[in-house]
Amino acid sequence: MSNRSIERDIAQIALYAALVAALGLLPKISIPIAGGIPITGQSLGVMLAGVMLGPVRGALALLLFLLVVALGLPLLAGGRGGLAVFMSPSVGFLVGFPFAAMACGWLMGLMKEKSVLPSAWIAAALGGIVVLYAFGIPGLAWKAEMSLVDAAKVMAVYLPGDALKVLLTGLIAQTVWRGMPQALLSRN
Amino acid sequence: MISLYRQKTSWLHRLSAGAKLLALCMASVAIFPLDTLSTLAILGLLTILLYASLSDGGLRELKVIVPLWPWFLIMWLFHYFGGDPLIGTVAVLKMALMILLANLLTLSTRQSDLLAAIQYGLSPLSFLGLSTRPLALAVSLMIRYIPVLLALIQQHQQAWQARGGRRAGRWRLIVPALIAALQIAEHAGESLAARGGVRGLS
Amino acid sequence: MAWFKREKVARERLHVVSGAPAVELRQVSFSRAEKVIFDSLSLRLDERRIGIIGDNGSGKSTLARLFNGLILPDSGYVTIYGHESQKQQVLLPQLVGFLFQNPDHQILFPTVLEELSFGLTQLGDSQAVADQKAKKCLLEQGKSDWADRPAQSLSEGEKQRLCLWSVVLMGPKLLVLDETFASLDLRTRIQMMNELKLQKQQLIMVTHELNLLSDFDRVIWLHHGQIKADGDPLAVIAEYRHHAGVED
Repeated sequence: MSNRSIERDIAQIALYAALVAALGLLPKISIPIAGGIPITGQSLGVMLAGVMLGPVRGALALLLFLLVVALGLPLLAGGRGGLAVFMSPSVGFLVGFPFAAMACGWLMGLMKEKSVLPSAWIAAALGGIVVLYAFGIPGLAWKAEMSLVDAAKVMAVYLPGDALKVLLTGLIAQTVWRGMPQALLSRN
Repeated sequence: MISLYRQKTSWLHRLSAGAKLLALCMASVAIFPLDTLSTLAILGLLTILLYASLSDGGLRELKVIVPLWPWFLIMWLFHYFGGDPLIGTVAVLKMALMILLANLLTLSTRQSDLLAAIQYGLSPLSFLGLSTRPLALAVSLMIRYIPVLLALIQQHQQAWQARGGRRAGRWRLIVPALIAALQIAEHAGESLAARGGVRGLS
Repeated sequence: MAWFKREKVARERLHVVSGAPAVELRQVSFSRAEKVIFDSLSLRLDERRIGIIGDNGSGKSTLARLFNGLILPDSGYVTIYGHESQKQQVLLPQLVGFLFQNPDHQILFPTVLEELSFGLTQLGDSQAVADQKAKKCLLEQGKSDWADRPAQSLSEGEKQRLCLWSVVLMGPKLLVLDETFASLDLRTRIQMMNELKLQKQQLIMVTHELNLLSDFDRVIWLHHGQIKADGDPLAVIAEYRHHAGVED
């Protein structure tokens, strides 16, 4: 309603950060290994933040999310939080969250002339998997003192779950687009 | 909103957030290059003693590393099959140590104090003409709305189940929450602006 | 990165320009999405308690938002206590307190104390001073135990009171309410009105609840962005009722 855009931007970023947290707090449906790597409803939230909000606001939403986790709120899968999570094997992925969201958002912007479903799939796959793992695997290798190859082998277990999330991100983005196109800020 | 901060006071609680943050950073840097089992084991015992000194069940807080056992196991196994179980043990110990130390900070520091310390640390930025006020606002807004969005999603889940919704279509439940997030943001932005906005009134 | 720019200059305190009415609109036009909402509307509001009524889509909420600078006119002038909203958009909340329809949208902070003290820190108080004043307010209302409660745990009526106190604590000269009590039950609504009437500020209330306005000083009926009736509450309300098809 009003034309105070700075306040609206801050609110959008804060609300999406809250959404990433809420998605991570939902009871898990099924997850191979509990605790450790935040591959749950959370990375779906990362993809959605980028795809919906665009690169800058999406990345800022994830940075805000990480800040609040660092401050001590148990917002990561399994009720984990605080500075301890940045010392765990998943630190690479956490650092990768804002970059992954930024990549998703940037790609959505590049493809805004194309139709939503394939654009969202490509954006989510490249941002939410390729970019995220590019941070996560080296992070794991470094923290766990494993070789890159071994770290990659461990993470391969999660690929099917993440492929599913890419699928969902596209479907969700398309559903939103049909009902309320202006909600896809990455395209406007 | 529940947090990992432990309400009971201790000597650690009384230290300033900034001091603890600095100490943790220095500890990380110091521990990183260590690779002898005996040194790490001693440090580990010292850490356990620190937890015990927290009084009133402080040792129970050590449970923070429990959920990570699969990862410790995997790490160790890779090194074991690689022919060097010692390195595996060292790596696991180091990580557990760092996690326990970082957790001590989280347990003993209020989030508002920690945020204030971070803002203070960022205060040199004010020379560049940047302010950290929006940061505190954004943090509060996010925390305020997490339970709201969670309740919204769960309400939809219950309605869905009550109508005998199929499991395959459950992803749709996220859609209203996405839209609600932006609609709420619109109103929250107005409410913020109506009380002076990000820049304040003074 | 405009969000993080720091204001280097301390901002002034707005005071009521002597002789200026609370609200003055001069030839105000405003459109949104190619729909004309106001066309050269002029209005002078200075009575103690003013009600604004009208159908949905009449422009009431937009009008209310012109009073505190949330919305600026496309052309014409809006002056609040002598200050033009175009020039003083950022500082108008010093003079005008705004209460929105839904307290869940208005409340920005997790706990009651933070919500109450926010307006005061915006006005320049340190967090410690603001918290003290907020606690004093709770004490006076007999609700000291609310301080650390999550705002979300309050009932609808309690949230509404929290919003009212948060705004009143800032010491505005004018309170603008945009259908604020719409979702409350009758009893709570009457309680809130009584609490509102104890406030010293001037009051402009946009509402559907015609019953609440009977002892107001002036009521304006807005229809498609134009004033259809203006003056004595009972007369204007009767005219509006007639328009709405309600038998009198």
